[in-house]
Amino acid sequence: MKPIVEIRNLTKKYGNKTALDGLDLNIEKGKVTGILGPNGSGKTTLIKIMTGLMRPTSGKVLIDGNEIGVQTKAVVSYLPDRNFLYKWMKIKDAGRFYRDFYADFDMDKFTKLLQFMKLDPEMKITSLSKGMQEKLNLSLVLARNAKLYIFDEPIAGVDPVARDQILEAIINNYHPDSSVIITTHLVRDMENIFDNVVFIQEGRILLNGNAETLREERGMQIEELYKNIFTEGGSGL
Amino acid sequence: MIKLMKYEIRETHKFMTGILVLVLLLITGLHAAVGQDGSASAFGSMFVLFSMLTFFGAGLAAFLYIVGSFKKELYEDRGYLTFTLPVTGYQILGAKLLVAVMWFILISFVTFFYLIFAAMAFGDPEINTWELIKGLFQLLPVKALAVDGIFSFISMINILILIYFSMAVGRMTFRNKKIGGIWFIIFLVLAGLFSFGRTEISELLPYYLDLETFRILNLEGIAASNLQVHLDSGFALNVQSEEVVNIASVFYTLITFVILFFGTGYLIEKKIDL
Repeated sequence: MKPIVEIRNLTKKYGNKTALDGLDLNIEKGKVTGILGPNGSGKTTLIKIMTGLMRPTSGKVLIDGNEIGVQTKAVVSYLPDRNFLYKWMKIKDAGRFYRDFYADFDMDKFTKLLQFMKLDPEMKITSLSKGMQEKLNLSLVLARNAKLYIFDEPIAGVDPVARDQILEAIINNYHPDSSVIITTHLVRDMENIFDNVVFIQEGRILLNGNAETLREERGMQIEELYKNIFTEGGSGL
Repeated sequence: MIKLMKYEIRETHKFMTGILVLVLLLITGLHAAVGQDGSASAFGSMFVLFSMLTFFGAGLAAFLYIVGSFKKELYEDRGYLTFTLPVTGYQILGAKLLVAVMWFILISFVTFFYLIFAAMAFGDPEINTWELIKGLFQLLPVKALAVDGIFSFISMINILILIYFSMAVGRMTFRNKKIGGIWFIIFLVLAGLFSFGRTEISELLPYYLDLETFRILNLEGIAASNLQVHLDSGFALNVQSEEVVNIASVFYTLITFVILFFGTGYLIEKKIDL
């Protein structure tokens, strides 16, 4: 099966600093892929390139066979790690905004997700706490029937209760034929979701494979593997 | 693009409506301060002066607010929403420009017609205001003023697109948001360069179109017909209030607008990293 994301020799430099260094990666269709790495490893840069927020210095990224642009933005549902909605909006306005711009947005699903998250559509965006904001953003993103969902640190900075609710929403609501990419350094909370994992450091892939196979081969959980790799400078590979 | 415009209007409408209401209140206040007989008390005179300053301030605030709306996309988290939408950079830019144009036209027209209304409503009942306005229109060089108004409007849109371009260049060149104000220096330099280019091209190709007769005049022709030319962004108004424009400057203005529009759209589409 053709991968949903094909990355070839991808390099991104900020001046002298190399954020991504000749990365090659395929993301399989219909799978949940975790991109794991410490802060500054290049995870967010990779995501930003896939979503069209950044341009590569060199190399190529194809999503669903297309170069990054209007076509790919129409099939990618992206959850950034920040508050990006208009300040004047109420929750219901945010839903209407998504419906206006994304043909795959399902308003009924959005309403159900809001009920699950216990969010009132009449609430103003500016009155939401960090956890509520995260839940709203996630509801918007999951209410799309997208080919590829990209979640950038979806549970960072939220309390444990909200964290469980967010994880449950992701597991139960992403379209089954779609693919999911999740970046995180909170591996313990998320490792059971992943079909595949990619370990990334200093813009290079250290390890990439099926999560279950890696657990069997290494005789340890993904979290332990993560600690081995990143606390021992890659010697745990 | 219509949807982008819809949300741009929703974003800006409260501020713009506020500006409009302020201007209308000032016009009403001005009439009250001046009095029906046209005389003004000391307080009234101060109010007139204050109002004039506020008119200018309101116009400037509206302009800066429009500029700020674009800046938010490039320098704040809003860009994460706008630049991941399935639309092109040209559509984003076009929507912002069209909404800006819409606001400026709306504010200008409402203010203009309210001025007439206020003159009729608060003026001396002995005076037939409508006849007075008609008389004024016959007296004033209306056509020349209208043409000058249109050209000023074009100049303003050109300044706006130059600001957008400068911001896009600034964002592309300097990733550090703390030095985001660098766009203003880029703007000043580019504005100077474009102005220099306009003056040079008018001197190089000194052919003017007389908008009264649609004849093409050279400098000798203008001198012979006793016209005094004031160059203003490539456009000129003579002392008889007949309009002449430097043809090369008009083309220069239009071409720079097209280049800046597509240049900014290209930078948004292909070069800017958030």
